Amino acid sequence: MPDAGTPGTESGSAGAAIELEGLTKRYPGSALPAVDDVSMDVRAGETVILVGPSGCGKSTLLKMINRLIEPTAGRIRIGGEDVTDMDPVRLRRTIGYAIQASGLFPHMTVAQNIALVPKMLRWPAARVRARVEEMLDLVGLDPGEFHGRYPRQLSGGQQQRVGVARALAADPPVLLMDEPFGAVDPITRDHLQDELIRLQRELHKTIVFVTHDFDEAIKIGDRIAVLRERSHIAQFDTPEAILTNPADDFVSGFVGAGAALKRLNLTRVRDVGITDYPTVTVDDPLQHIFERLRSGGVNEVLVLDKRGRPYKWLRRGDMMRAKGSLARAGTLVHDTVTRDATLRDALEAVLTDNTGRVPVTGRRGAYEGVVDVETLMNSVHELLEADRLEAMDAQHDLQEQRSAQTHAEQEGFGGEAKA
Amino acid sequence: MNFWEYLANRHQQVLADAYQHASVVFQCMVMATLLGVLIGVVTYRSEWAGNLATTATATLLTIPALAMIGLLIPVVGLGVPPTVIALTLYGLLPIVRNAIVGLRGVDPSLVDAAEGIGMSRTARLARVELPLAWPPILTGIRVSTQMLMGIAAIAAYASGPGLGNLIFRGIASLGSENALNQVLAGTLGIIVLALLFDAAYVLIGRLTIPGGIRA
Repeated sequence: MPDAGTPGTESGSAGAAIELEGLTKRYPGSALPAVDDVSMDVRAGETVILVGPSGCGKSTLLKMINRLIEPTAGRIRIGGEDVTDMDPVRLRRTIGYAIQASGLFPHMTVAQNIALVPKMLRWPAARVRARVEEMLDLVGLDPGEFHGRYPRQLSGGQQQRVGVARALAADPPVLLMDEPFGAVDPITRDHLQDELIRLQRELHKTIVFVTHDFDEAIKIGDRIAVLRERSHIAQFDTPEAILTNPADDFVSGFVGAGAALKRLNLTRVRDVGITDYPTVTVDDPLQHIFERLRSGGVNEVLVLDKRGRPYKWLRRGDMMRAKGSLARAGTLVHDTVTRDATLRDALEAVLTDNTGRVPVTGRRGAYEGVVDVETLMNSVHELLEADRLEAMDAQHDLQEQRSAQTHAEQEGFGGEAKA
Repeated sequence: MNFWEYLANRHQQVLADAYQHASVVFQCMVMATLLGVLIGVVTYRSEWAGNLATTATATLLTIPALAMIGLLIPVVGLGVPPTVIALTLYGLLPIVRNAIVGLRGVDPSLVDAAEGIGMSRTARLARVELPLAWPPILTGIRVSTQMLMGIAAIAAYASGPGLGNLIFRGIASLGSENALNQVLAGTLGIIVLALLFDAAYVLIGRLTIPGGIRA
């Protein structure tokens, strides 16, 4: 496997492009192929989601990339190199693989599980040890605490993190994930998805991710391939394009209702304006706090705790009513969002907080700004307007593409998969 | 002479027989384990091969021990060879059956994961499937050992080693002063040995079954 060799990320190799060309899987004894002539280009460093109803062959398609299932016909190229006839065992050591319910080996400790692939690649022992610690750190588990545990001593979410750590341990340019978060509860799943997004921003791997959950697809995918039966690609495009401009009834049926609301999942707080807000800290003298309240032009300030984290909202009258005691005055901040939170999360938080705004926090929960209801409304309107314009453009392109495809088919060439 | 006096008198003879008994059972168990696990590994992935192996070893077990040894004598002669062959064959069934059940019982998603991260066929077997199937295999070995302890006594019929000699000698001289003591010493010796072996297996289980899958 040629190493992309892009420096700059702390753990080495970034993604490699994957090209699938006419991939077909036919099982003996069944008339129709399970996967029928799929061609697809995944760009280096991109997260592509394969989504489709169960039984559409999306897992089969994924498993053909690392040749757990040998294709009946077609070629697979990774990083420009044809791997269709390469030794599959060697190939798989260069491709990360994470599956549902983590697939951790119960008789090995967390560290042994993570060390498996580096050891098979004959890394020196010291490097393997250091790598295990690094990977645990990367997926947010304390190496000292989790190193020697057995998988059954971990929660479902922790197991899944270790599963991802194992998949990434040998620093593969490509990561295949087969419904990795299918078996955990919704809250944990949400966390794991956020983690994956964060990891991907650091690592820039090429990820192919299978799910049947469209919301999961739009949350983590750079591009989504909606598959119908036999892995025929119904639409392969960005989440925005699929939401605002589904290619046909099958796709729009799969997108489901509430496309405008789902659109909120695609934009993050970092993309809309974070506004500054008057703050004081609990250590400030009372006099200073009174002055802020009187002179700030607002009737509310945000009180931060000793570590700069949002603590409570303080209104003008609050200090009077609490007889000058800061400890008793004001209402506690009960929800915050990070810059990576989706607009949907932010809207949820704003709607439940009676101040109509939510603090945005950064590292270690420190205050960075606020998002309020007006900002959200405005950006949503802008987004939808932009999407509408784009959709009209795309509609036009699509028609051209279709006529080109019809032409090509009449000429006897295989159809272009990106229709 | 009561039993205790007999034991005090003949303890050297009894201990020597017990040692030989334990030794032959142990050696046959090692062979039966190697052979049984090998048969399991070769056959578990195919429905009919696995069933054939289980049925074949079960059929072996239905042959009466005396008949088996009797049939082996003309082929391999008297003494140790027929004893070892018979015991190894009898020991196979529980091990083969548990090896097949254990290997087939490994979670398919783990096999998929092992293959997916790039383990070769051998590595998958050695590092994932066999370790996970080890607890049931060990149970099979335990059951086999208990069984062989009893069957080994019959080896004395073919002039084989072990505590069976005491029992046969006692039965042959029924009515004489020490006949009953001999039979009793042989039988109790076998029971004590069986218990000692069983305790050893508990210890082996502790040492060899990884903490992550210990019940």
